Amino acid sequence: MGMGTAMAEAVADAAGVYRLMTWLTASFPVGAFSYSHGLEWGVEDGTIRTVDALVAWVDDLLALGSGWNDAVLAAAAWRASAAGDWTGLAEVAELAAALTPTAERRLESLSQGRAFAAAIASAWPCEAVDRLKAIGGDLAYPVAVGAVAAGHGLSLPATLLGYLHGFVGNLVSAALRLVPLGQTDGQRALARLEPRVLATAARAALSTLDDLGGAAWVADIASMNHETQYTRLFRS
Amino acid sequence: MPDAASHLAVLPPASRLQRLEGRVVLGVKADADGVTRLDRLYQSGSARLRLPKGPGLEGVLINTGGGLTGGDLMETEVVVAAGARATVTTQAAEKVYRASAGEALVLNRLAVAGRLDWLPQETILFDGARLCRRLEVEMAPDATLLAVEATVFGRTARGERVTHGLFRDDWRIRRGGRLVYADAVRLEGDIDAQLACATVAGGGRAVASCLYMAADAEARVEAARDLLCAGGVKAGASAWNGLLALRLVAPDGQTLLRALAPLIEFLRGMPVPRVWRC
Repeated sequence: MGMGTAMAEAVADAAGVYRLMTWLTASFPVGAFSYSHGLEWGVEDGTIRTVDALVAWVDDLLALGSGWNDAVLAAAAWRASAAGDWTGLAEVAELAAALTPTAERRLESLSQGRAFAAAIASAWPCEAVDRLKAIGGDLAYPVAVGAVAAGHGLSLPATLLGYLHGFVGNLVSAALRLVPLGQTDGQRALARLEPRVLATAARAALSTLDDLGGAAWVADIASMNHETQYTRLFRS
Repeated sequence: MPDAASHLAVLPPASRLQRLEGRVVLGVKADADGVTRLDRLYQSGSARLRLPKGPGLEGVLINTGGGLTGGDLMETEVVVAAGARATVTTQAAEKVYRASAGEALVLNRLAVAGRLDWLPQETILFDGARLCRRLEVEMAPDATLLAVEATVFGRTARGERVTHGLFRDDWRIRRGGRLVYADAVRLEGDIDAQLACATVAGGGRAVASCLYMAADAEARVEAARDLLCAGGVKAGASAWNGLLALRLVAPDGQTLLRALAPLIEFLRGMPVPRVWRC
């Protein structure tokens, strides 16, 4: 491989980083800041009062809950989209929507999925986002991200890392507002979660849909009970 | 000091050198008077179905092998035609023994045009058990389903902990051909350590998932929550698109079943199956 090719690939990688950082940052218009994924109830019932408890909660979701399942679904969507397998993509989309375990987690995932596809179609068009629109029906957020990232030629490991970084960043940010914790506590939490995020992204990059599965029952119950919470900042 | 009988109970019966297989197919339909009648019954291997006399059609599944271990396969298929109503339960709690090789497979396929209450008694995983369970449901758009699966990790009364094993529980529910609900539970390795995690079971060792799909599913969420509140377990309920999903986490099987029974009675408008009350 000549220097020219290596340089061209490095530039392409950098372009990929630019896109992922743009799409998966808190300012991308999907309304991520309005969802706590049930964490608000975990704070309300006293489970999450410290940085340690916050890190444990998010770490569990990555190892045994929705963080892992989202990464597996994003990977499956990425693969179907990269292969131009639009029937396969439709199946992943149907499964991902059916797997949302509560009304609010469903709202959180489907609203963001829809908003993500709309913003991409407007500012970052690609065939994959047109295909998602043609498939119609419920579009879960990880499926939208995985399909679009492949449509833009972004690598699967980078896509999963970007998705999980957004997932973790949003939960930590919600916790800073709710517990409350200081900005430095938030950074400590993110630093401590880095190994799990990297490991989960790497594991999910090699996964198939048969690897779906977790057991974060109490996190699901927290989301169910959040629906009954009297005073709340978040929609989930 | 465990006595000889309780020690033996840990092991699958000696006669169980052969891998166990069983299959039941039950079909029910409504007669001209709207009464639910048996339409078809097929049973093979170590699976049997009893249909005790009583109000309503209630099928009781029996595993004549007395439990499951790695390599075993149990299949149940239930077809409920339009206008018919049936309940299917199990004779006893299903015990899943330590697996020396492979996984126990439990495949349940339900096709519902009328109403089905799928109410097997709890499954108890012994330490070292490996179980893959799958629930596949095809529903007509206006059909009604109540499905409950309760799982207890270890014989909690004697302090048993599941420190190694596998538990997978996959639900795929289609209504009018569309996948509307799915669940993918997977715990592997030191299950007890994972149950201790705050987002998993917070140290609980018994869990139940419950799904009620009916025209009035969303209207019943508040009353279901009130019943759960009274149950002394960690639990929640949520409803959307004509389905009501519930999860319960309890310290042990007995506490779980005590909380579950009134909920089941509420959602089916009749008592729990008679075998549950033994």
